[in-house]
Amino acid sequence: MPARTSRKPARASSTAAKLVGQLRKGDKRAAAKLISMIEDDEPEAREVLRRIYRHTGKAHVIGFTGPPGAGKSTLISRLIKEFRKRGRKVGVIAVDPTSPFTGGAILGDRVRMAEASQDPDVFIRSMATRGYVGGLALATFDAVHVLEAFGSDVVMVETVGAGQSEVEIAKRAHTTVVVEMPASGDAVQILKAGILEVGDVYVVNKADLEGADAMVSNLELVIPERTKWRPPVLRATASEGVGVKEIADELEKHWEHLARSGELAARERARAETELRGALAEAALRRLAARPASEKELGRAIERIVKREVDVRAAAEELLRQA
Amino acid sequence: MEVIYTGLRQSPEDIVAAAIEEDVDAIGLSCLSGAHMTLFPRVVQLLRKKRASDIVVAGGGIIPPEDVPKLKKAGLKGVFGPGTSLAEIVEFFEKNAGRS
Repeated sequence: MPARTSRKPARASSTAAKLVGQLRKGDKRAAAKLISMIEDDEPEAREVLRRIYRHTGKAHVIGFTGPPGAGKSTLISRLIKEFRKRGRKVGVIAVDPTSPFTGGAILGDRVRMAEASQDPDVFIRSMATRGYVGGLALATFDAVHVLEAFGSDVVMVETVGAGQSEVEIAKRAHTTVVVEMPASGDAVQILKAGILEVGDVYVVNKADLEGADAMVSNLELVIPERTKWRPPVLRATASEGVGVKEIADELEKHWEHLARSGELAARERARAETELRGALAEAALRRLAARPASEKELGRAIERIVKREVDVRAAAEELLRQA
Repeated sequence: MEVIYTGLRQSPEDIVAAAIEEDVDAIGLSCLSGAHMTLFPRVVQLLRKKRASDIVVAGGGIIPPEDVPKLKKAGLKGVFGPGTSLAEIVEFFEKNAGRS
């Protein structure tokens, strides 16, 4: 493996240019390398993103969320097949959590998507959250850009399915799919989970299990209408491929709705804002960390916080002002 | 370390395709069927064909000692027979696939 630190800028730009050229020709290895560069935050990564950005923005980005075990991976694997049948080129990013204790991760979403690996028009990538609380690192957004530049018509993003990531994927994706199952509990549990505002399409998976009917009618009762779009509640048994075609139909219908109603433009703006804010926070952190005296100043600030001379927020503000 | 589990009964073609998409540093193979002499070298050959021979390949399973040198000659960097300790395998990957 090549060393990851401080390559010369000239070299960086030629490596980036070459990889982006290969990416545009549909080279999977180039796509994979580019995503790694972004994940590892290599110096070339920014050059890469600059070069691919104008090739992005055409794909339908679909986010999937819902409790672990609801069948997100299985549903996505079926949708890959369905979209391929419809002639679409498909990208998938499957996010799994990084262990806060070891910093490592076991990524297992691919197990259910194995069949598609050899199709040149399908690209599946697993990503770990790497410590980002919301579950969707900025790197995930950038990896979506790579798959757009790769030529994907549809990019599906599978989230961890816990907490803040729901809201974030909804801001980032064009269409958000909430996958539930009959055992997820009653309507109150769903209300508590705060997923009612985020879904454009709801799927009650494992619809052959007891309680599916109740789940569907409860959801229909509590889901609010969103700007001129009534989120449908669909049944599926993804493991058998039942209901998958109907889900794909609704996803395409929602994509058309976004374009027709002008909401697509509004969401583009919202997405740009989310990404800009994320990038600003990253850049501020990086600038702070790059200063030679930062460790010392950090240490001093920590001392003062412990001694109750200054509170955490004020200390952070102070450090940022000096950066 | 991030480990991507791809599931059981994968063909060498599936494994190599996944390894390339995931841009991995190493592949760990497990084979209990006795077909390791065919399947393991096939993974190495496919990686070469895809210009990805920088990916380290190791394999384990029911492997008779006399097959070990043959597999290493075929391009496997590590071969682990029955009774290999977990610590030994972890050490191998840390040494051969670790990025600083």
